[in-house]
Amino acid sequence: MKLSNLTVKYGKHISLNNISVQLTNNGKIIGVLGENGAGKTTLINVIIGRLNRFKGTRTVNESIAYMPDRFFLYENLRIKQAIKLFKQSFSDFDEKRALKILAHFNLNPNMKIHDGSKGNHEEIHLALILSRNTDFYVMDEPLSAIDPINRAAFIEAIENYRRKDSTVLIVTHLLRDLGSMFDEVILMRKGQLLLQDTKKNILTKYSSLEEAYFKEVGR
Amino acid sequence: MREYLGIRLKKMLPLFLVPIGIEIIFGLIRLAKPHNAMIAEVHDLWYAAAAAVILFVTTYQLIKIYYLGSDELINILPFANELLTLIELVMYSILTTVFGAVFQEVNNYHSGVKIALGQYALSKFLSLLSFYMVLFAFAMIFKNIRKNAIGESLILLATLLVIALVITLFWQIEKSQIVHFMIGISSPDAQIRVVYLNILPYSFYDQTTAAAHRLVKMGYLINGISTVISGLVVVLWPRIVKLNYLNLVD
Repeated sequence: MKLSNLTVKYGKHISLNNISVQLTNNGKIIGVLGENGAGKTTLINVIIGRLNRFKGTRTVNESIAYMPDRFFLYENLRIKQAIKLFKQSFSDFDEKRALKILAHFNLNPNMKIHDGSKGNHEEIHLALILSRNTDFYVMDEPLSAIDPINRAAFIEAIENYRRKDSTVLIVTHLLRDLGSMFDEVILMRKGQLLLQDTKKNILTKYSSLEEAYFKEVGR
Repeated sequence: MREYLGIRLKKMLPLFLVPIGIEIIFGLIRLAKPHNAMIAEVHDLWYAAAAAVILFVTTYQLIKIYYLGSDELINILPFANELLTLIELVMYSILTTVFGAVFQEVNNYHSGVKIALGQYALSKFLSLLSFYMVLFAFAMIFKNIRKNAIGESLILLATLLVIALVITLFWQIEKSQIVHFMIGISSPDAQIRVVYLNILPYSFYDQTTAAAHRLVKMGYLINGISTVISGLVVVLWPRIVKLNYLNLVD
């Protein structure tokens, strides 16, 4: 996918300022980092096609599975109904994989969603999203409701259950938890792209991703 | 899509099933006490209040789903938001019509007047559909306004303006035919014809049969035209203007 010279304005506020990004589905996990208001969610909204009023060009021919930062299922549903809904709605949905991921999180498909914790809700989301065979998985703050103990299982699911050649784009503030899984990092500040590089290259200049984040974003 | 429709219907049904249940209870009470005028009055008031609440809630729900984009499930699914909103408003129209028809049946039974339920249902359904379609069309026209309060106010004001225009148009065309009328539903009577124009019911009295038929037909026509025009806006507007589908609640 290719986004060129992208500018998004809301009145006088510039949310994205002439940025260009190119992403390929090569099995990488890419972290999109930046402070609040940096334009991360705006960028994601352009990528997934929710934000269509912008200057520049958007070329996206790949399939995308999107996991929002808000809970998207109705709480009166059972997990198995959500699976059935996804199976009927998405031709690329793999039911067996969804059941495997649920088992990975020790979730029973017969469980009513409102009986689960917020963390369980995120896990159900992830199971549904990762069970789609798409070129890209785009996740907005996926760990926000997961407690530190269960984060490892969540990260493991992202690494093991997605389509292997797909690219995962993760918007997050939790650099300490997720940084280890990133192959590439996009750093944003005030609507501008500060940096898009592999973790390997970044770590030749900085001792850690956190240092890179604070030095680049905090300038 | 079948699973989605089932889930959606299950979510919205309580809003309609509870009033329909209460309506049936009223029917039974009135059957037990057929000459109690106070019960009949309370029944009428209850219906008016329940119908207003249903209309208010469904109007807000429709704005929430389409304009505010706050239902993430609808945003996630691979169907056009427009299609899902359209399904939603058709469901509202059908279920509200069913609620109205139950009330009408109870009233018909006690008044001894046979009002053709088919004609009532068609008139009510078409008027609701035209109202929701106008609302949907304006939700689409103002969709790119990011400030909720401004967008919601504009949608509601524009919809009210269209309702006023539709009523004015009906009046201008039919004023020579109208003998007596009142806004609202009166108790069933062989001499009264009820016409729904964009959700508002009008009761016409003392009309000749020909004039009454004409008023009813004009009601169908105006609601039909209003629905078609709104439908054209809904189909054409996204081809003319690029729309954002952002969640405006966060």
